Amino acid sequence: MLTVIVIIVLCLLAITGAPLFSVIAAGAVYGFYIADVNLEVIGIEIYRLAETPLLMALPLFTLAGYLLSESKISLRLLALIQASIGWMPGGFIIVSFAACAVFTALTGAAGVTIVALGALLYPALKKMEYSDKFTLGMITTTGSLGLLLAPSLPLILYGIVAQQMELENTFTLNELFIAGLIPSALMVIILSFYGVYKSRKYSIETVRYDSSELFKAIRQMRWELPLPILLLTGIYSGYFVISEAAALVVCYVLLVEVIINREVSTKKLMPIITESMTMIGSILLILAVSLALTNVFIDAELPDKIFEIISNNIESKYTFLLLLNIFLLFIGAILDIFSALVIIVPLILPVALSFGIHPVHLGIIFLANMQIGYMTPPVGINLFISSQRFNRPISEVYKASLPFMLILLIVLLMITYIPGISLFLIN
Amino acid sequence: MQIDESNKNKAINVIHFIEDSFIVLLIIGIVVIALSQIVLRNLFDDGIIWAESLVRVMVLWIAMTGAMIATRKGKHLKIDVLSHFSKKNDLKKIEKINNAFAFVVCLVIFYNSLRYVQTEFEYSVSAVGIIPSWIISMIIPIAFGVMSIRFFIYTIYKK
Repeated sequence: MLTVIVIIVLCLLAITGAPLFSVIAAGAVYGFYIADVNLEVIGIEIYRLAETPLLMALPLFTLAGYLLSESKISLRLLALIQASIGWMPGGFIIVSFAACAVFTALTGAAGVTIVALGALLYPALKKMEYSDKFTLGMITTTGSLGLLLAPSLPLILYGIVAQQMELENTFTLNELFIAGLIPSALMVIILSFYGVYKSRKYSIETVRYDSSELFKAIRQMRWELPLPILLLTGIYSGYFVISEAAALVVCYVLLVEVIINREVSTKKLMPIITESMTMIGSILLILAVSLALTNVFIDAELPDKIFEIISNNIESKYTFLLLLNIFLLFIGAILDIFSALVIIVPLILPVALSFGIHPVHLGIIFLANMQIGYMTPPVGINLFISSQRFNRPISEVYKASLPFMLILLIVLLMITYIPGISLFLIN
Repeated sequence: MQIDESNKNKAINVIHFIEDSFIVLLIIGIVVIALSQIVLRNLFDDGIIWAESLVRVMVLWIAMTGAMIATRKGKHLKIDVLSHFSKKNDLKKIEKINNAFAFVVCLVIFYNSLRYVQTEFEYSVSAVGIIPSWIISMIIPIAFGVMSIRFFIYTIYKK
């Protein structure tokens, strides 16, 4: 009875905006307390941050992402898109989706795509006379496209959380990275089809192809272009360990943006580093207290109980997956992706495994849901970012992004029910 | 009175500066260590044995220092649904309750992690090279101590 009251109070506190770490930590402390465990254990649990391999990749990639979004890379990227494929009707749309996906992955999916790249694409699309609604919807969608591409932080975090659980059916980060490739491509391709189909209705002015413009744009990007190629081939081929790749990327980005391009002044360096480390600090803190809460759950055999309830009511794996999608979409709309990952994954991963779902497949499903959750009305965070950045009423953003969301939902169903899309490349 | 006030602000600024510099040094340290490991391994087929564990400890320190700074800047992750739909005045009252709650939680963790550090001290285990683990885990009570003070101040004074 007391436990029920505690849970209700904690949920209320969380929904009203109490710092999530304090709510999770309180849950863990309460759990240890009623299980008669010495509360010193909370120190041991937090210390586990220092015993988790791979974790160092998170602060490094975060820093690289913050540095990149502080430079003028988005301007140069836009120029390159225009010059390379602006001549093709609808070509701009296709490359924009692809560029946003790569940008989101590189900047760690921390929600900067709409502000950094979207803010430039918006006037460009308007100039090409795409309708307001289409433009707004498209930009809102691009905010979380690329979540499934390495080295996005949520992807790495899922790998870390899953590996913490000592499953029988383990996987490597590389397998997870590879699994994200086809689903990401699928989203970009299907969204592009819709975009191109839509653009036939408008009399889109295309830019005339000019090879000197293209060379100019490439020249301006010559230092940044090798980055995704190096990083992606390095990671996907398994040549670098992820943490090494992260350190190299930070160094390279520092070199290019601070010394060669001089777009990030040394004066701004300290605030950027502090800001990015504060952001990752708050994520790691939540990870630490969630690890403690997970142990409470496991000691209380909660995952087993959840599985029992679910398997008593649901027989087929497919019904389970459908309910899982609905649940995760809801979670994705109210919780930020990092908190959702560290709280929910330890609970559902064992259940999903007993239904015979591959942990890598579950990771892709989970993140794809979160991606859509970001733009699910009424509270998806991308909707608010767009509404604020482009000064539009939120209801207009809801309407504009709805068709794009429906498309992503279709892709989500494909990813969920055809495991091969995710697992084909790693088997 | 005025002198007191400006001295107080100065002291606070110094603390903030120490936190900021510390976290910057930590991440730069991680980059430098990771890169030298790559160079050592590939060129000299060598490596520093304790480098891996040192880097992991630095991640813990980044997490704790970052958490302190996040408290000061109000950057902790939270569910931000209410702020879009409710009045400012109601919001402030709720925020006070939430801060008071966070204060209590941080205090509990501060006390218990301090006891944990004490136990580590008594058993004097070394964690990285010759550095004893109680020094490394000291950052946990420090961080939660500082955070509890900050949440307390927010609960009482923030308008």
